[in-house]
Amino acid sequence: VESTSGEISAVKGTVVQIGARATIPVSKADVRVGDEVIPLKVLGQSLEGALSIVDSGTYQFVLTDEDGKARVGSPPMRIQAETDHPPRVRIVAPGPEVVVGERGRVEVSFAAADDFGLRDLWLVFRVEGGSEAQKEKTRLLKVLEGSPRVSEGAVTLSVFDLGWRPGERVAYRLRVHDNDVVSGPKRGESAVQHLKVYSPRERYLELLEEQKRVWDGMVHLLGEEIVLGEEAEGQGARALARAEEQARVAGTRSGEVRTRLEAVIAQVSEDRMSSERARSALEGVRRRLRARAARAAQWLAGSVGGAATRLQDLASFMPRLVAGMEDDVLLLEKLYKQQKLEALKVLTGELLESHRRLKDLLETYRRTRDPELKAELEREISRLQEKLRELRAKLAELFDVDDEFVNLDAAKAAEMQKTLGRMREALRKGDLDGALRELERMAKELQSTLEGVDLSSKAFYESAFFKSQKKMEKILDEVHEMEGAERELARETREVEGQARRRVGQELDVAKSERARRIQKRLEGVQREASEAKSLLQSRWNQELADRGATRAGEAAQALGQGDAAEALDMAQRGLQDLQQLRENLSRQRPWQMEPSGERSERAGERAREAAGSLEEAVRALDRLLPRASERLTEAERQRLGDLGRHQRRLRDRAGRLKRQAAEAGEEMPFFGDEARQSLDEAHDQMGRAEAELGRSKPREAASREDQAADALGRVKDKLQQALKPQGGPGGRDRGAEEGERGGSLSREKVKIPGAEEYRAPKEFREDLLKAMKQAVPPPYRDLVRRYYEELVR
Amino acid sequence: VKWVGVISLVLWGGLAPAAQGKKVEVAVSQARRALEAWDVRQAAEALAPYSAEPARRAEVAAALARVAFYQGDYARAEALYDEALRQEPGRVRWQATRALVRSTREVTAGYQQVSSSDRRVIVRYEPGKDAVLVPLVLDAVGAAIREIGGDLGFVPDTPVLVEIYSSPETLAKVSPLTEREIETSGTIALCKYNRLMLTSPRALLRGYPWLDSLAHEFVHYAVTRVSQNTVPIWLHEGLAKWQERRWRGTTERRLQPSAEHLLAQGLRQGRLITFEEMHPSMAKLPSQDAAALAFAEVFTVVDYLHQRVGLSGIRRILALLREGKSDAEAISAVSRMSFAAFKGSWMRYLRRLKPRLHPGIVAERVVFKKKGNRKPDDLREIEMKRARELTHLGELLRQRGHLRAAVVEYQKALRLAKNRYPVIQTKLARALLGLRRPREAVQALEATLPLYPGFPATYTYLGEAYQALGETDRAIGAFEEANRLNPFDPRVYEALWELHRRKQDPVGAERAARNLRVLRGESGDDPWAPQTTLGR
Repeated sequence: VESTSGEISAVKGTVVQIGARATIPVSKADVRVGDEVIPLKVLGQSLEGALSIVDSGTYQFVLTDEDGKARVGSPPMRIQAETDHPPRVRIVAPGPEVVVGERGRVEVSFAAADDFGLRDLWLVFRVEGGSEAQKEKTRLLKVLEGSPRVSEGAVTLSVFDLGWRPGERVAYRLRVHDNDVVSGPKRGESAVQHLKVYSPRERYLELLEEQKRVWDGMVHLLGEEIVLGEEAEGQGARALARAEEQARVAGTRSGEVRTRLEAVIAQVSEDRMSSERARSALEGVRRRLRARAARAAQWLAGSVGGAATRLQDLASFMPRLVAGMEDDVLLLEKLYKQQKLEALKVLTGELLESHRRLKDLLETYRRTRDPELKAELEREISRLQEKLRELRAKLAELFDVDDEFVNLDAAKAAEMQKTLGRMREALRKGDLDGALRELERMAKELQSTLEGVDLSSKAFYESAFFKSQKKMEKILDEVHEMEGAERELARETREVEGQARRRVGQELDVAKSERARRIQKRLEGVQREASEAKSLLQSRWNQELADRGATRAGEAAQALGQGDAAEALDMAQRGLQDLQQLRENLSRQRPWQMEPSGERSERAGERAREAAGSLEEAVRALDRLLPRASERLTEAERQRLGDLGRHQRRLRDRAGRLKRQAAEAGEEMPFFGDEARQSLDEAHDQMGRAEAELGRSKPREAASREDQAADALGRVKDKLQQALKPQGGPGGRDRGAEEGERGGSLSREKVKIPGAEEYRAPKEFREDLLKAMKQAVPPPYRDLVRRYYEELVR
Repeated sequence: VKWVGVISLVLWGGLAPAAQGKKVEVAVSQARRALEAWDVRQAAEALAPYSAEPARRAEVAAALARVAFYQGDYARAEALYDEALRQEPGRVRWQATRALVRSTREVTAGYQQVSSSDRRVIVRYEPGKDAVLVPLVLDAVGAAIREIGGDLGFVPDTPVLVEIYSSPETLAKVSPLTEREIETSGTIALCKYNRLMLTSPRALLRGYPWLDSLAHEFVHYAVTRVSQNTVPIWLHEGLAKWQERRWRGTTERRLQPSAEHLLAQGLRQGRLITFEEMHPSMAKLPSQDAAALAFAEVFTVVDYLHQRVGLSGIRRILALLREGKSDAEAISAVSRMSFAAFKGSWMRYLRRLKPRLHPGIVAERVVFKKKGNRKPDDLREIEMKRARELTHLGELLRQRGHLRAAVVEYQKALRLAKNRYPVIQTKLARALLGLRRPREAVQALEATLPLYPGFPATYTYLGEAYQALGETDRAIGAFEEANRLNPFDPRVYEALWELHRRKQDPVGAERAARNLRVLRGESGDDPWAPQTTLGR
């Protein structure tokens, strides 16, 4: 505190350096603060010392002259002790509630300030809920070096390191201390925020509840539609008016149900634990619901005919409509129950895992006797107890729903609770062997529970979906067989095309043609330019594209040199796709692009553009040079194509039958999902096109269509296989990630929650991506490019 | 006087042992014979001189124990067996009986005991909800004494003791039957050890015709007493089955449709249960169906016998049996044909009866309440899948207030299932009542009665429908019938209270109100002013 007036105004605890000059020679000098006397160092007439500010008051110099006589050396001067405010800290990001994966990390940005100086930053947290209110815990996050008055920054919280588990909700806040050593460090805390550890199972259960709500809505809708069906039996204008009113009521209800169902399907599609089966079934319900609503709406909109005709029309379709609705209500109910059993299975699995963790902890504790481990053991027991409680509740609920399929009872879970209680008691008494014995007993009980749930789930599935399963298996066999037949057809078509192409090449004797030589030279040029581009490029992806372009241009040149113009064209076309892609990549001048900006990259881009342009020319020239194989087919080849066309028609008819079967079966085959249906449509359509191309004796085009048809059938097969796969638990679509480590499929990457100002760049980035994605991509690369973009935004 | 006294003592001490021993043996033997004929009074009289004797022989104590047991005094019976076994600890039969007595004492400890006003009937029951059974039991047994006793020429000389047990497990503890036998044969009431034993309808999922069962057991009681326990099982059960509804004052005796179906099936397949197979007890037959078939058979035998020889002939047969004739002899004597001819004649009668098959009929089985058991209106008993699904949809709709739609679904189910599953009709009736369409509800419910007269919910909804139609007497009749199957539904008493008030019948209204209080737990354990609580 610098002061010339002598008045001191400082925060309590401040040490004030005092420097003064005596006007007389002194032998001793003191400062008197209240009753306290602080001696000063006397260096001639200069006086030096220090005084700590403890309270407000006055101070005064007292000087002793050389004669030893003390005298007051100054008037009393004011000391103003300022109050030390507690430090302040605020969480800047993330928001008040954030959801994180079980291996995720959260970056918490903070801003702290103190009038004195900040010492350290702590995390204070408490896991909410649970069997017993967990104690609040603290963890030092950061020591603030140099006691800054203001500190801003970020700390990273690791969910795993902090021992938080899926499903847990944690209340947390930041705490800072100042370094007030006089009256002791004060602390300041941020507002409490929450962090939820994402639990796939909880999410799954929420989704199940949402499905139940949809089902409930469907029952209400069924009620309205049955009444509409009843109204259709009436006569006269008043009956018609009643029916129309009822149709409107049902229509509104149907709209609500559909909206809800749409939302559920979207969520189920994204949910890792929801099965393909469930999604397919829900999609089927949506499709049929839509069709029924459309039919009813069509009737409502119609105005042709008198009351009798209109009511007759209504009566003609309502029984079918109601029957369909009945089946869908029953289907959704079964689906819900099945999924509930599956969820139970997962819960039991989690119990087993928790049990394993407990065992490990207990064994380690037996070795180390680490008191911290004991606390952790207690916590793990509480967790297990909580899960058991949940299991009991679920079992009780299921008993109510369908006891026939639950071969176990809640009593078992209650027994396990007791075992756990005994274990806790043994642990308390220090009887670790006893605790381990109880744990072993529990393991057996858990295992048998898991087996029971598994058995019940299977039994329910068998009873509820046996017939549809068998039908689907039959269709799967047929699709599998058809896919093979279609691939064989494509192979044979290509064989015919190949024969013709080779013959045309030989007939042309292009090796001697001047035009061919020019094209060959151009191709060799392309090879050089592309190779040069490759040497200038830095991204591996781009390098590969350039390399492939160069290789294929070279191979095309070589083939042309050997007189095989058809092969040359084929190679050149493939190379062109690579180089076009490369040109595309390099044409974008964006910060996130793969090549760094600079002269080197520009040169690479130039080479790539030249190579691509040149190759385009070469392809066009080759195309002109080479008469189309289809124009040079022999009679025998045409006949063979005709045969293949007839074979294709038979296959198409089969696909058509299958398509009709799938459409008609509806809720009888609930797991025949929309994607499988669309793929089947596509296969049927491509078969039709292939047949037409074969009829026009165009083998290359036909083979391409046949390939697409076979691919579509392959997709149908995949979807059916997924839907039919026996489920070891929810998550038919993502089992691999779950087997080894539950929830392991969740990202363990650091999750940075961007602050408000940090949004701009990613937004632009996303806009760029969207624009880029709209640009044309050569068909064979569509998938690759899509995946690339997905990677970018992931 | 002193001298004489001494002489007297000498005489007793010196001369008595042989004479005294013989006298005791006679008394014990008399008592045993009387007890075999369930003549407890005579047995007690025979043993009266020894009942207060301090140093009596083991046989006397055991005989007295058995009398006490037959009188329903289990604590005294146990003490007497203890006394006997102290003297002769190796007596296995006594040990077994003592175990049964002890178990009975333990089971009935804390039971309430109520007597009818004429002291002819005593009811013991577990305090609580079973109290609602008491007035009905007293009425029914009173009526049975009057009607059945009248038919068979039996007037009880001691009060008829009825004990009501809360579960089949309890019945197993106080009888020679095992729980398994009770479950497989559906035996829930017994007449043994000079008392009527009944499982409370509370222990069953849907109740059962418990008052008819009680009357059935009373027939056994009367037959045992009249014949001095000489009647073979087939005739015993035949008479009991034939007479079990007689207490209602009706002389109409009909086979239940499910029994008729079993009989028709048995006849067609040539698989009837023989009289020998019925021995020693119907409860020992392998299944409820086998027992039901056996009952159907013996019912027709007695019905045939009645047609040939009338009630007086039946009474004569019982008298001949009492006199020591065999069943073949007694029947030959009364029917004037050989027993073989009688059997042949019955078989021809049976064929003439042409019992009908009722395809798809679901036998009205006894289903005990158990953990994880189905609910009374469980739809899984509807074996036709689509009918079951439609009924289920009807339920879903009804629960959500779509009564009109629910009715449509139930009706669709009904068209498929016909009258095979009364549960559909009761659900339909419930929805129709909600829609204020009681006339249709009555139609739906009455259609089920010929096939399923023992489905309690039918009567409850029938009562509600009649009540809604303002047909008070019919409504009361239906609710009372419901109580004869399952008397634990508070709605029934609420309705009865209302109906009796409407009829200005304060007694009926009060009885309903009292039962309602019992079921709601508002009346304590003492709604009928019981005389005794059995010692714990």
